[in-house]
Amino acid sequence: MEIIDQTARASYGKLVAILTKSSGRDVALAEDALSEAFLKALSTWPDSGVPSSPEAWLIRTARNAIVDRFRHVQVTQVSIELLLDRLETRPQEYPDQRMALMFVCCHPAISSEIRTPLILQTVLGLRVEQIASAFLVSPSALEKRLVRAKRKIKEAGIPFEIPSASELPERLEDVLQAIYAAYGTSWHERTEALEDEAIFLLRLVSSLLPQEPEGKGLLALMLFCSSRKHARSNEGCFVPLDAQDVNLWNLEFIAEAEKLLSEASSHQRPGRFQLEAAIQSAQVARLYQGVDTRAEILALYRGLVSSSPSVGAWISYGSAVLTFGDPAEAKKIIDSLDQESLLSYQPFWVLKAEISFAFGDQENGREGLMRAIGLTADVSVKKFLSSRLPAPAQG
Amino acid sequence: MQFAIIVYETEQDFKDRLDPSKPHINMSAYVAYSQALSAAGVARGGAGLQLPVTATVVKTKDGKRMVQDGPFSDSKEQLGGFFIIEAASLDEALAWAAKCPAAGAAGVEVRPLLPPPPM
Repeated sequence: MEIIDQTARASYGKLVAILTKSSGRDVALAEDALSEAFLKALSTWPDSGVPSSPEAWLIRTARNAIVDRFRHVQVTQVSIELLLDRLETRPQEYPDQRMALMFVCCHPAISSEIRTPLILQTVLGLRVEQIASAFLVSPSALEKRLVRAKRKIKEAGIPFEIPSASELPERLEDVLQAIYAAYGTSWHERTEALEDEAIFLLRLVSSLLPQEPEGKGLLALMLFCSSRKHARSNEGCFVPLDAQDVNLWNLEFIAEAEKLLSEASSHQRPGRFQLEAAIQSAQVARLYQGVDTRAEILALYRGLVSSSPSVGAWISYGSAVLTFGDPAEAKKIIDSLDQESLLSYQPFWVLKAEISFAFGDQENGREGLMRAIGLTADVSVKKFLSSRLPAPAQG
Repeated sequence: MQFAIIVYETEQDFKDRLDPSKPHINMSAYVAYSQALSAAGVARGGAGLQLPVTATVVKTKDGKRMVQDGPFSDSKEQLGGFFIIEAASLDEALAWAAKCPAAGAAGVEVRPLLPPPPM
């Protein structure tokens, strides 16, 4: 039934969050109880009709399953009953607990590689196979890691709450990082990125923590990026930013991103994601409105690499410098990076090759591109890079 | 530990090997991939195989020999070659497997190697 799918999609995490509270912080038990409730819904709603509040019905049914389970293991009943009684059966009266659930999944005690899969499973109810494909890991290995992480949440007594104001920015950074990982941190290799899921989660974060500008900054960044989805590939071949047909950009996404970015900057607490979104905003102005924002873009990149100096940021900065016509400066930038650690980093080789071409060095350009092709998983990017290959030197 | 990245190819994939209009999947893509494995220091071996039609199957049973032309199985995807790599974990091996040109076509299979027999 469609209503069950809709409820699952929109409310899964909320329901898991509510139930986790009433199951003594046991995420796995909450999920089991909820899937029992969904199964029951599938078997009874088609006959009995959809209840007036599907969420309330699911919670009640899942709560009963939890109580049954506790009876089964003969845990002291009183505290659980008390806890359950305090929860209303009308979900709209609960404070939304999904944010707390995300903080639990991204607690420093949980290893960083499993945080994103944990959020995707507990907050959105994605299947293990979907998550495993997106992250290129074996489904059975992922399943084991998820079970281990949930056991850790329970045994370590990770508090089910939104961190205090002093801790919040740092802990939120972890949550945002985890959501960004779902989106696909590198635009060159976003083959199976969980784009819609990540945007959904971030909308949730910005609605539940509206006072945190970095949440809005990251959402703006993703929307800018997603606005170019249809322009990014032409007949299965990747199209780089400056060659894109701007008429294929999604203006609704861009408008929302601009609004979020200006809301975020009104807090006067800049951060990495706001900077990256600001760069995208300046790129839109340059390519869509034809405003010369090259100096602003380079200044924003310098701000980004000095405040959050990641390899990805440096390569993007170098790329912008090259695109704006200064190959010597771009070469200086990549020469300043630790070459040894970049040997298997695809964007590094793409930039290195393009710099060689800019200096008329076909041979090194070709070699760099070949290396980049060998390091690319995305077929459309492989095609694009292959199309840039010059004919091999005769002789 | 070592893993085999095993390439399976359809009839079309075998044809594409020599198609200059498909540089993302033809031999040049495999050259790029092998070079990337070597440069990263993970390459341990491997080979590309000639077309399945060049294969010959040999069996001996109860003292009787049987020799047949053609590959072992007649499935749609045939063994096309393999790479042996050194990787710290299956995750790492899968990351390399995804970059193999065949991953973008019929697909590749990743399997851990048995440890070498004691000397």
